[in-house]
Amino acid sequence: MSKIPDTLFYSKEHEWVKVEENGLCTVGITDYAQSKLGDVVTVDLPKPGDRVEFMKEAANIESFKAVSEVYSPLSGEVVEVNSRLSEDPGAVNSDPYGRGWLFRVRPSNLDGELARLMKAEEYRRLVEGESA
Amino acid sequence: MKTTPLYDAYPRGASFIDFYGWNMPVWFDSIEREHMSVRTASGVFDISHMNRTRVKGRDAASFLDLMCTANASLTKPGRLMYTYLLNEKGGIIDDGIFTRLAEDEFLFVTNACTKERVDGWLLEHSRGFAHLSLEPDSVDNAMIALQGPTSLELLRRVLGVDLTTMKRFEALVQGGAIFSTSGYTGEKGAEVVAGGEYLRTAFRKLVEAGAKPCGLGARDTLRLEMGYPLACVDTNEDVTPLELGGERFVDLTKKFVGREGLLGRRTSRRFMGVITDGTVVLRGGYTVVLDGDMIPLTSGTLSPVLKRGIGLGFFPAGTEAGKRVKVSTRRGEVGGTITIPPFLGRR
Repeated sequence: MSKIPDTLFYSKEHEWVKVEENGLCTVGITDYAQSKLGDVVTVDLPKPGDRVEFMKEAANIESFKAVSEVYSPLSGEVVEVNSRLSEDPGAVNSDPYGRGWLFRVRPSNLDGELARLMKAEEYRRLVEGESA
Repeated sequence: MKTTPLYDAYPRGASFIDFYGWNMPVWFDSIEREHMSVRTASGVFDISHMNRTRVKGRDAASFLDLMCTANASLTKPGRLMYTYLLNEKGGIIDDGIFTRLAEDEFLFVTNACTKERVDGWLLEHSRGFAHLSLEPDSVDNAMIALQGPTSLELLRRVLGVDLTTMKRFEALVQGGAIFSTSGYTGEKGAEVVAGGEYLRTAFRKLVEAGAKPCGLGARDTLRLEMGYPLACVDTNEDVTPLELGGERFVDLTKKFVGREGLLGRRTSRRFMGVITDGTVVLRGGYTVVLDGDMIPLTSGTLSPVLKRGIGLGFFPAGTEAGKRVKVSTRRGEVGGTITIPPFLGRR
């Protein structure tokens, strides 16, 4: 069964968002997404200072199987990226909600865009629909 | 899509693909972990989807002599031979392995992707032989590969079949099941053709005893590290055995379909490898920049052992191993070196 933490928000392209206490938001791909990709080999991340836009391509993940686009679930400015992934890309597979985080954003339209994302229950239904 | 007789024995959680009409696992756990299990211990693969033909009768050896580049008449019972099947122009229809089971009986294994072409080709040429029977292997039969440094010991312990003193490309027939010292990984190991019920149990027991279940993803990365071509991906009917460096699998002293066509051709390209300096996934279609030309790779991957990109393709004859090149990937150009496979040292 795919892990879908209750405290996160989800996009229909299988990214998750965690709203941190300091107002920044951490972004990654879901357990379901990593299981479809297989072993991650390289992760191409944006740079701190880059602008990202709601559901526009922000990063790339390459596995043995294929290259996959990662869409930013929020608009804003990238403030931090997970540079550990260059040495340990497998963290995206083994710990997609923890050590496999991709980048952090200072959101420019948080409330408006969170309202357009899914909560865990709705995302679970999406995943179950895709797996059927 | 079809499933093989071993489908019910698969562990849960595999990721599947439609492989030429067969619903096959790409991985059960992870391509990288499955690959490394075969290189360091044992892995077990379901390869039942491959095309198996039973060739029987007094004319069986003569028929295979005509169809194959390898010499069937000189192959003793209990031995396997790797061979090409050529069209009249000397182009490769498929590669395969035949096992001589008896004076007048062979098992011929070829690829899933060429089944219709090969079946039709063999049938068409069989009409001139009076004492020949060509039959597809029973759909209730299955085939597994058990590969890795501990695989033959595991086979002995779990299934009671001892191939440990046999040389490579030999076969043991026991109760209708065929156990051969062969494989597509470069490691020691065995392939088994037997009834589906027997192999379902065998697959489960081997996994319980520690063999890692492996999918087609690892099967591909393993053969790529060895530089083995894959039918329908690296080869097609415009490719000749000479371009593959496969002279030793061609017996020019006998008559076979495609012999004259082959001899009439110039060999202006060779199947070779390229290895990147860094960690990057190479894929079929990426190009190697060589002396101003763009040479497309036919296949590629990231080597799980070497952690560098490895690719295969057809390079101009005379290209030297060690030559420094650039490889054009989706992330830009990376440095690489032309290599004569295998990419790994002797197993």
